[in-house]
Amino acid sequence: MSADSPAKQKKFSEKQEFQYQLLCDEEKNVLKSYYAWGKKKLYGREYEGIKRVSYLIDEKGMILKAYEKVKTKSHAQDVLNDIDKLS
Amino acid sequence: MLEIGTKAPDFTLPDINENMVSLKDFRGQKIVLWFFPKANTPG
Repeated sequence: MSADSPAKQKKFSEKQEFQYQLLCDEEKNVLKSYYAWGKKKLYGREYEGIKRVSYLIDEKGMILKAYEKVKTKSHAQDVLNDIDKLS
Repeated sequence: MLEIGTKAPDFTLPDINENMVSLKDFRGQKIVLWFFPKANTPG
């Protein structure tokens, strides 16, 4: 999920050949409710933006795990390992 | 961050083909909800 428009995400998705759904929250309300929106720092400058957070949600819609500091290189594997451990 | 064991806030949002998708559509399966800053950035 990001705040990009459907058209923009579509290009991204096609280019990457994603096998999963990309959702668009242009209003940013969902981002906020999941604490994925807030102050970030880049080169000492503070600004508001989307944080790289993710959640694992169970079959009943409950939060199983929350990832606040996502390592982009290993994140996919980290989450898959957690799913294996939990199931 | 949302606390472990609490209910994930429901939502309904468009996907890339403008189909509406809700969290409750995924009841009965585990899902990973992944937020990223912008298209064409890593991770």
